[in-house]
This record gives sequence, structure tokens and C-alpha cells, in this order.
Amino acid sequence: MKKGLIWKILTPVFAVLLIVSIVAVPITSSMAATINVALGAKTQEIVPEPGASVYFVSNFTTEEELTAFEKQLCRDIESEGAALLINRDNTLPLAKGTKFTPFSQSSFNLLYGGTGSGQVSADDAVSLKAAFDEVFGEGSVNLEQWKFYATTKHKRVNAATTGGNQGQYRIDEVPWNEYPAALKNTWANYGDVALVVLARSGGEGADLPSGLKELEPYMTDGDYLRLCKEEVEMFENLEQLKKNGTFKKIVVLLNSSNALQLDFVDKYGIDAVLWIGDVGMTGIYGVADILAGNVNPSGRIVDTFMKNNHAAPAMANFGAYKYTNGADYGVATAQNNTDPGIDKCNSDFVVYQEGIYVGYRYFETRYEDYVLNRGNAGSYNYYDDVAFPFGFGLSYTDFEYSNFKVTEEGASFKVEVDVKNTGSVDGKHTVQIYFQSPYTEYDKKNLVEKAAVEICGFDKKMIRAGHTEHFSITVEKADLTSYDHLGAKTYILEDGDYYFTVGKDAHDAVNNILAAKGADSSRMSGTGNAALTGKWTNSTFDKTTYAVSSVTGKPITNLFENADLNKYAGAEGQTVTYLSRQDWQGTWPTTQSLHITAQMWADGLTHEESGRQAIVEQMKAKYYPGASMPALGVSGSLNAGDLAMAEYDDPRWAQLVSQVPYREMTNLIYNGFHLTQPVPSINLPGTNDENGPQGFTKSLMGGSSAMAYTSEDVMAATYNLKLIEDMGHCIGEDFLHATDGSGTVFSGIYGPGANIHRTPYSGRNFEYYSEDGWVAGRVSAVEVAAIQDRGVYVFTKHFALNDQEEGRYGISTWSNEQAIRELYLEGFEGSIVRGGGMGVMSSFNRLGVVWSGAHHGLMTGILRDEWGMKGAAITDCSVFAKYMDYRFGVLAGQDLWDGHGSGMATLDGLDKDPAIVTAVQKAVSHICYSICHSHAMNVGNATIRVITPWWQLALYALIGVFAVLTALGAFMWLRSGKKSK
Amino acid sequence: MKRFLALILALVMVFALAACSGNTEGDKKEEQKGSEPAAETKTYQFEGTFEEQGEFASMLNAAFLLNLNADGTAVVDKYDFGRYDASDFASNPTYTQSYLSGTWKQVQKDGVDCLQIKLAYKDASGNESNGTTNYAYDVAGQYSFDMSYPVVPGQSYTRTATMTGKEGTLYADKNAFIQAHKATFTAPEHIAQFKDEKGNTAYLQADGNMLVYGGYDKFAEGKWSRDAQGVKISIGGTPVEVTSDGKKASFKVERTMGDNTMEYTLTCDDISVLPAPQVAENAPYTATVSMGGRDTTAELTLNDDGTANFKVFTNMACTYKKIGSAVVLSADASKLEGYAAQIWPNVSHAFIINDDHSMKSIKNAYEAGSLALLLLDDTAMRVEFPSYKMAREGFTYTLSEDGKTLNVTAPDAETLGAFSQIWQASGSAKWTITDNTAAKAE
Repeated sequence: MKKGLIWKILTPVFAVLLIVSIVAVPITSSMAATINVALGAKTQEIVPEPGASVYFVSNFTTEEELTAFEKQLCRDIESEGAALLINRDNTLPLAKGTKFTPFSQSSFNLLYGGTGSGQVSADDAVSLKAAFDEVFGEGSVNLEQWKFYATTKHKRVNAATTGGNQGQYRIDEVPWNEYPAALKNTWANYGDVALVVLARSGGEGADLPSGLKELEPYMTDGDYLRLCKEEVEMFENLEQLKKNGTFKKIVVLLNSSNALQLDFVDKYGIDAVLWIGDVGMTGIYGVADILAGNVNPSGRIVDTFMKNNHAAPAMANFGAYKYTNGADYGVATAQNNTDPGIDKCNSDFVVYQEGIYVGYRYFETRYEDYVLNRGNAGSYNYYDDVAFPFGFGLSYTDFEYSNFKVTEEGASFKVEVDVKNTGSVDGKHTVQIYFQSPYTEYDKKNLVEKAAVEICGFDKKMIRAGHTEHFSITVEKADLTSYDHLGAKTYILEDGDYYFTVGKDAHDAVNNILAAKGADSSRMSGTGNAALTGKWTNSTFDKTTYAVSSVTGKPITNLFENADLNKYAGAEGQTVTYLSRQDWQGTWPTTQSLHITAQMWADGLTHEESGRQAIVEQMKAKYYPGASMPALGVSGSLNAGDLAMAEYDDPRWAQLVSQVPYREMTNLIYNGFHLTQPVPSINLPGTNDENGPQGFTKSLMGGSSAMAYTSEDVMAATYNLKLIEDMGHCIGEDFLHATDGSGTVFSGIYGPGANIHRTPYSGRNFEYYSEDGWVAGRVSAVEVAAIQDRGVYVFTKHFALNDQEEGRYGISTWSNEQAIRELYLEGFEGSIVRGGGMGVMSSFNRLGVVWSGAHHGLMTGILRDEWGMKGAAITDCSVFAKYMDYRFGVLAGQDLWDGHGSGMATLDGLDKDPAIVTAVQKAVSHICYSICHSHAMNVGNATIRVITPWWQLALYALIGVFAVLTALGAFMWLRSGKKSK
Repeated sequence: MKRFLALILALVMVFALAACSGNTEGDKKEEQKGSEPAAETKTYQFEGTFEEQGEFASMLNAAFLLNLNADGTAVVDKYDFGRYDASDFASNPTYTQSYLSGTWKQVQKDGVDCLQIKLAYKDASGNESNGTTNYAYDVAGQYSFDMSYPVVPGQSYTRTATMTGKEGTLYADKNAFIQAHKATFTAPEHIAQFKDEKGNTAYLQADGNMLVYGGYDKFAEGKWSRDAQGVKISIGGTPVEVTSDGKKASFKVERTMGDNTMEYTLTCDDISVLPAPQVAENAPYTATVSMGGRDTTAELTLNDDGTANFKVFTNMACTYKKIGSAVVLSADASKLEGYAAQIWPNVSHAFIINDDHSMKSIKNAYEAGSLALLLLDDTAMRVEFPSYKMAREGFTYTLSEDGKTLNVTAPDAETLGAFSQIWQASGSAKWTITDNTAAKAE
């Protein structure tokens, strides 16, 4: 072949490759973040300051030491959180050597946690058999039964991790006729206890079916929280087997964070029932410890367990309801961010018509009004609805209360009580203090609702058998206030009689108060003890003391009128009648129907750019009037390291942020999907952030060691804040020990969850503490403070009113300001105000028609002005979700976005807009604050170099190679042509 | 010279290879790292699939082939069958060998014999993530377990595929596995297509709907219509520009995937074959209108009772009057609130409506006895004689400042043609205007 021909062929080839390489640069650059994550490519180099201060150091010498501590801690949490609900004839505890035959395929396939972003791997989790063999002795569990379940085709199906839906849930219990005869013959040898495990999973993206017709073949009435027919059949047969002596006892473990409908526990000869929630990695040991009597149960349930889950008034409006005229507006919905409607998410709504009457606030209040024959309570029978009241939990011993006393001490009360352990075994006991505030004519006129009792204090102590412990609990007056959204438009402490009491549960508490009031005992369910109550009479109606933030001194007034159909003018006459104790039957919730009005569209539902632009202009005018251009991208010598651990009001924050060019700021704000971007202009290191809340999720899904703790409700049910504090420290330690392949630290956690259990069916109840926001707040405060103590900033999630999964992307959540503040924000308030939490994760949903991250009242009014939050607020996963518009967010107080997508970069080109730049700088300042108070600062005043990842270098090299080869080829081609001439 | 060139060439290649060296471990033949696997005498093969819920998510659909090898290694291949490529595995870009890898052995867990299978994702630098330990139990010779795998490697977001298998092999080779799991794309019903050379296609359906696919994934929906000027297309309610070249027509559409946006130019070679879409009787009329310097879609629904819903970004309740082929909208502006109040004064209230439910914005229209006077823009006017469905363009007009007097100039006789008799009988050079009625001026 002639040389000239070779170059004639090669030159165009090189040229084409050159073009391909050049074209690949912009395409791959736009996907750089994703490619970097996929390839584990290093994007920053941190050159630590020599001799830098190390702000956060592990308290454990080795990772093994930490792991051993965590395994025991998870076991302890479960053993103190599991609540004994039934123990007939002292069935429990059981002797060592007891033989068990497990029943249900879930006994083999225990539920360790939920699914979704907070999923935990069961790889290293302890099985029921392993735990029982250890505690009761080797061979305590029927091995043949165990093998049978290991190899059965029946298996509980959880909804897919994400991208799942309600229709995927299956109980799939083994039908009784599939137990082989040979297997049945083994039961008598393991007949001390038939151990039934009832498991129900929950997870992100899919609420539990609460009456789904398509699931009726698989579960009773399509309701996942009821016994399915195979389980009923199993219990019926076990009852017979107990009668014929094959089994001596039937013990049930409720392995679920979603409260099963407990309409069956008084049937089938069931001897004992223990609620265990999701048990985490080693929690099943704790369960075995309780059954063996090694630990005296002391858990107290943090939800009302119902006989009829649909008796809860919230069930009338639980789900995603379509605006009736949505089609006129071209609306769309998305359940996950791969769904086509993800950029709109404006078709659904839900109305919290029950107001404050969630969980025990409803059942106990309706009950009191029935007893006192008022409020059109009807012929209400408490125990038709309730199986076990909020706060309930048995022990292997008995406790007796005496010397109850309440003393006013300025802004608080000292509540004292003596508790005697009257039984024969030692045991821990939680004292729960409840209060009742007066329900007045003012309340009726101004539609202020009052629950019959609310929990306001607790403490837990070990009490030795026969001994008495004195409890002294501080109750803050601020916790007695109500939010008056019509009259005073702030928190009020009304004049009148306030009752305090100690109750073994919420029902016991209300009975004590009824006894003190001299109620007709014939109408009561249970008995009360007036001696265990204290009354405090407030002589003046106080609407000023609590009208300013105790944290910031700023006024507190209505911020959520646009989330209340009765106040939002844009609803154009669409109103809602909230459930009221003035007329229980007359205000009973019904499923609501709404349509979109032009104003609702314009105020937040719009998906048109012009509409969104109009909202931006309105927000600028309202929240940044007369904004002037701040200093931007100025030269300066301050580094992030200079502000490590600096106070929030340090003037250098503003100076630091002014040094950051606009493009670096938007890069930081846009790209927060599980990380923060490095900011070279101020040497702020990039970090990794990871999911919680049961632990450090990334490691739990494969990586360095970490512990999966129990579901949050089990944590709360311990009422043991020392355990919670230890756990928070350990979660922080797990982050402290982890780095990614490039050496970047993990310094932020997406958790804990502080929403409430509005109904038993929310897919993510396992990530939330309780139906009671106050309890959630007390527990989250301790957990958050402890996590942050190890140099990890928190994003308490999902802020706010994200109490269901259906329609979660963009659903309009309508409620009233009293319920919002008294129920749904309390968990977060505890996290931030009491726990010093630096951040939150805003939620997918809307408040009214405004996406939560764009709700100025929520993101600035509450978080900053009332609670004084100092760090960053991240969004929930925002990939593709254009409705989470960056402009709305920064103007409202949102700081960081959990994911970016093309076409979403709405802050681009706005670097001359004074309001936007000011808001962007605020956001950057908040992010800097979080990182500068984390163990990412252990590098000191480091130099941060942004590194071009290796794959981009390779691409540039290829361009160089092909450019040279093309030129060379062209040269040789021309040269050979000349020679031939 | 040759030596010099060879030297340059060699240096360049060395440089390129050095720069690319970080990628060598990303090749399909990954090395096993970590602890040495224990040798097993048996081999097993498993398969499983995952299909994402959601119409736009087929790119996440995958089939997995797991081999438990005699040397104790476990290797998972991943086949993205949702991309419809069933070619040879060795060169198939949708087939990833060794997506996950690890070790396996036979163990007894809690007294039950099973296969312990450890798997992890290894990145290009050899860092392991998403490690899992799985246990597969023997159910009548069949083994199964739920395999969790990362959607984005290294992140905690995973999906789960139920893997089932047995001792020995399920497939003779990897290509047999591909053939067993390959999917066939079924195009939606359509009467015409706009497409590009890469297979990205917009399917035009008979009812005026349009489905836009990037490869095999539908990523957008739109509408199409036809008029004398050609094809009109809107996507997600926003009109897009259609360029024409004889019978050929093209438009551009953007597709966003993660951080990446791609632009497709889709072409139909012969739009003359397109019939007018079968538009539903009650479908709204649509037009492109300008709002704030930006084109957007206006939708108009006419009700039998004389009321109408006019939508430009937001709905505006109004009444309408038909004048010839035009409709003129009116509303009490004081009763419009919020966004609607802002939009109403800034958008046209008169439109010519067409049988295909397209419409065109005009300045105004007047009922003038048996005629209809349609002001097309600031000077041009069209006169219609509705009872005979006759119309002529070419008229010009001026309107007095107070809007009460309309002066009309008719075109020349040649343009008027047969219409001149109608104009002479019913028309006038000067009209007095009251609302939308024109009366011949005295």
C-alpha cells in the first residue's frame, strides 16, 4: 500500500475521533456530578493545615470497640422500647430452656427496618433463632419449623425500596394446609410456646394499603394492618393445638412500626403480646431478654393501638386526592422522581380536617366529653375503638403512685410523685405527666381546640423491688399554651383551671382528672384516682408572654393562613369544617373535594415559567423590598477554616461569603445530592452527606461498619433519654469513622425524622417517633444534640406536614395553624430549639399551594425568626423536580438542594439581581455554618483544590492526541502528494 | 524524519495512555480483589429481573445473570433489556459484565444449609461499595434470594431483583441469556412519525396527540394539528417551532436526563400524507399567543350556554359571541382576580376558529348586518358573508380614536371578484361601531 494512501485513510479517521472527543466534553460536563459519583472520581484535594486543631475526636479507641458498644446499645434500646401489652396469668417471663415453635414466615424473615432511603441491610442482623438460642439455650427453637420457613415459597413482600407502590405489599403467610404432617409431629417437642411473629413493613414512597380493593385477595378488606385469612386460620389452629395440649402458651410478637389493628388479641387463647417495632441489627436479643426475664419490660407505646384503625378521624382524609378540575390546568403527579409528572407535581391535595385530634388527642377527648355528656359526643364507647392507650406498657412488677404534688415555680412547674415497686422483681418505670387545660367559652368562640390530656413530662428510673423512688419532673408553662389562630393570633395561656396528673397511660390520666372533677363513674371506662391530680388556677388570660420567641425575641404570629382553606382567600369559598369538641358528631370529617382556583394556580400550583416568574417577582417585592446589591466576589483572605466553630453572629460570615463568586455559590446550592461541593474561593471543603435515620445508611448498605438501630418509635418508647443520647453519639461516631474512596468525610446526616404518625398507615412511620409531636421533640432534641456532638450536622426531616407517602411530591397539604404548630412542628422544634439542630430537610409536599421549601413562613418565619436555626436547610430529593424552584427556595429561606437536573438552574444569570444575590448569599452562609461546625473542619485552615477528575483529564488528553494525529496525518498526506508530483 | 515522527507519535500515545490509565479497571474484565475465595466444586447459575414502576423509567429495567463459579467467585452481569439491544454480549453496550462481584460458599446458617453469596460494586479505583451478604436456600432444587444492587453505584439508593437459580447452568452462554431476556419495542399507534437517524421519534396519533420517544422511552407528550400553513406542534402545552422545506418538516425537542440535556431534531419527510386530526367535539380551540414577549398556548372552550373558559396560564371565565368564523370574548374585568386579572387585559379577545380546533388571534370582529367584519391586524380586514360561507381578504381599515367609526377600503375589483356584489349590496366605506356591532354610517 502506498504511504500516501495510509494517511489519506487515517487523517479523516483521526479528524472524526477528534470531533467526537470535542463534542463529548460539554455533554459529559453536564453529567459530571453523576459520572464522578459513579466512578468514585476524586474532585477535590484537601491540603490540611499543618498542626490543625482537631475539633472532633472519636471516643472509641478502635472501630471494633465502637461496634461492640453499638451492638449492645441496639439490644438495650429494644429491650427498653419493646412494650408488653398482654401478659395473661404471668405467662412471661419464660424459663431458660423453654422450647419454642415459631409461627409465620416472618419469624424467619424478621423486620429489621423500613425500606427506602432509610433502609437497612439485614445481612448482619441477628435472626430470631440465633437470639433465642443464645438467651434460652442452644436448640430452643424448633429447627424443623425453622427450615420449613427458610425454604417455603411464601415470603412477605415489602413495597419496592423506591419506585414502589401500595399494590406491591403482600403478607403472604403460609396457608395452614401447607404445613406437612411430619413437621406437625415436631411441634409437641417444642410445645412450651407457639411464638407468633406478625410483621408489617413500611417504606418510602408507598403508604400501607388501608382498604385497597385490588389487594382484597391478599389481605382482609385490602387492609394491610389487619390479620389476613391465613393468619386467622393459623390462630384458630393454634388455639385448638393449645386446647389439645400440643402447645402450652401462645405468645405474639408485633414486629411493625405501623400499629396493627389489634381486634384479635383477646381471642384465640393468646397469652402474651409484645410490641417490638422494627428491631434493628441486634434488637431481637433484647426481645429474647424480655421473654426470658433477663430484662423487665419497660417500654411504653408512643401510639394509640386501635381495635379499629379506621376509627381515627384522620382516616377520612388520608391519601392523595385529585383536584377536580386538574385536567383544565394540565396538572400532573409523581410518586417518584422517575415519574413523568415530576416537574409539575400539582394535581393532588389532602385536608387535615381532624385538626388537632390525632391519636390519643382524639380518643381521650371524645371519651371525656362522652363521660361529661357534652359536645354531642354521642354513645361513644372508648374500648370499641382503642385496644391500648397511648403510653401503655406492662411490667413484670407493679408500681404504685403516691404523694403527687405540683408546685408553680415561675415559668415552670415542679411535679413530684413517689413510685413504689410493689412487686417482687426490680424494674424500670416511666412516669408520664399529663395536663389538661381549660376548654373555655373563648375557645369555642375562637375555634381553639383543647385535648382532654396532653403529655408534658416524663422520667424513667430503675426501682428495686419493694423500694420507692421519688420523681421530680419539670413541666414548662410554655408547653401548656395553645395556639389561637383566630383571636390573639399567637400562643395564649388561658385563665382557668389546669389539671396535672400522673398516668400509666393517657387513658389512666384522663380518668384521674375525671375523678377529680367528680364525673359520673358509671359512664367511665376504667377508674380514676383524684389523689393523683393537681390543679393550678391561672387567674389571667395571657396572650403576650408567649407571643415572642424565647430564642430570638421576635414576635410570633400567624404564618400559615395560606395553608388553611378557611383563611386563604385564593380558595374562593372552599372551606373546611374542622373536627371540634363543640360538636363531635356534627363536625365528623368526611372526605373533602377541592378544585383549583385561578389564585391557587397563580400562588403556587402553576408549572408555567411565566407563572413561576411572577411568583419570584412577588416574593422579591415582599421579602426583599428595596434590596441593594451586596458585595459579591470581592477579594479577601478569609478562609472557611478561620470560621470553624465561630458564632452565628460573627460578622466575618458576611465577609467570608462576599468572597465567593456567584457561580461558586450556585454550584454549591444546586448540587447537594448526598454531598456538598467544595468552594475553592474560601477553601471550604466538599463533604459527603448520608441518609439516616436508623443509622448511617450508606454503611448499612455495604461499606464500613455501622449499626442499624431500631425504628424510631422503639427508640421513643424507651422514654430513656440516656439511651437516645448514647445512640446519637454512636451514629455520629459511625460518620466520624467513614470516608469515601477519595478521602472526603461524611459529615451530614439526613435524619432523624420528626414527622408524626398521623395514621397507622404512613409508609415512613418507622422513621418517625410517635403520634405525639411533643414526645418526638423531646427525643429528637437529645438525639440531634448527641449526633452533632460528634461533628455531624443534622437535617431533621421531612419539614413539614409530610405525614404520608401517597402523592408526596407536591401534594397540597391543607390544615390549620393550631394543628400545624401544636402537632406537626413540635418534633422539629425540639430538634432545633432544645437540641440545637443545625438543619432540616424540607419536604416534597406543599403547604396549601406553596412547596414547603418555598414557604417563607415555614423556612424563615419558623426556622430562623422563631427557632433561631443557624445551619442549612436541604430539600428532599430534588432531581428532576422543577417545582422545587431554586428562586422560590432561596427567597423563602431554603439553602441547599438534594439533586439537580438540567433545566432547573433557575438562578443562572441572576447575578445582577440584588434580591436574588442577597438570598443566595444567605443560603451559602447557612451551608458554610453547618460545615464549619462539623468534623469536616478537622483539617483546619486547609487549602482546597478542586481537581479535574481523571476521566475528564483523559478526555482532554484524547483531544490532544487526536489533534496532533490529525495534524500529523494531514501533513503527511500533503507531503506524500507533493512527493508523488 | 520518519524517526522523528515515530518518536512524536510514540510520545503522544504514551501521554494518552497515561492519562487514561485510571480507566483500565473500568474495563469489563475486572480483577478480583480482596480476600481469596474458597474453592467450591459445584457451580450455580441464577437469574433475576427488575422492572421499575413508572412510564419513563424503563432505562432502569435490567436482567441479571449470576454465576457462582467453581473457584468460589461470584459474578453478576447486568443486561439493560429496556434498551432493546440483543446483540452479542461482548460488544453490547447494554450488557455489563461483572457489574457486581464477590465470593460464595456453602454454609449452614442457623442450622439450615444454604449458599452464602457476598457481592459488592467495585468502582474504577477498586473501592468497594454496596456490599451485601445474601443467603439462598434450597427449595426443591431451586434457590432464591433478593439481590439488592445500587442504582447509582456508591450511593445508598438501591433496587432489588429476586434471583432464582440452580446447580449447573440455566443458559449455555451469555448470548443465550440475552436472547431469553431481550425485549421487543412496540411503537404506539400512530399515523405519522417525526424521527431522527438515532431512532428518536415523535408518534403522531389520529386524535391529535403526539408521543415523543427518546430511543424507546417516552419522555414527552404533545399535540399536533394541521392547517393550510402546515403542521403545528406543541409539547407540554408549549408551541414549538416547526420548520418546513417543501413536504419535509422538522422540529426540535429537548430531553433532560439527570444533569444532561439532549436536543433531538425530528423530521417528517412528507407531511402531505397527514390528515387533519380527528378532534373531539368538545376539545378546546388552541392558538399561540404572545404574553410578556413569550409565545404560549391559549385554550378556549365554548359552552352551549354562551359562556366560555379562556385559558392562558390560568383559567378566565367569560362569555363569547360568534361573528362569522370569529369568536369575540368578553368578561367583567373587575370580577377577575389575581393572576387572571393581570392576564386578561394583555391578551387578545378575538379569534378566528377553525374546524380542526386551531384558532388564530385577531384584533376584533364586528357583526355588520349580514356581514362579519374581522380586523386581522392593525390595518388588514377580512369580510365574511356567513350565510354563504364566503369571505374575502384584502380589505384595509382605519378606526377612529374613540373606536366608534370604522372606515373601510375595499380591494380592487379583481381581488373582490364575485364578492363585489355582496360588498356592494351589504358593505359600506364607513361604519358606526357599538360594542361588536357595526352599522352603516349615515
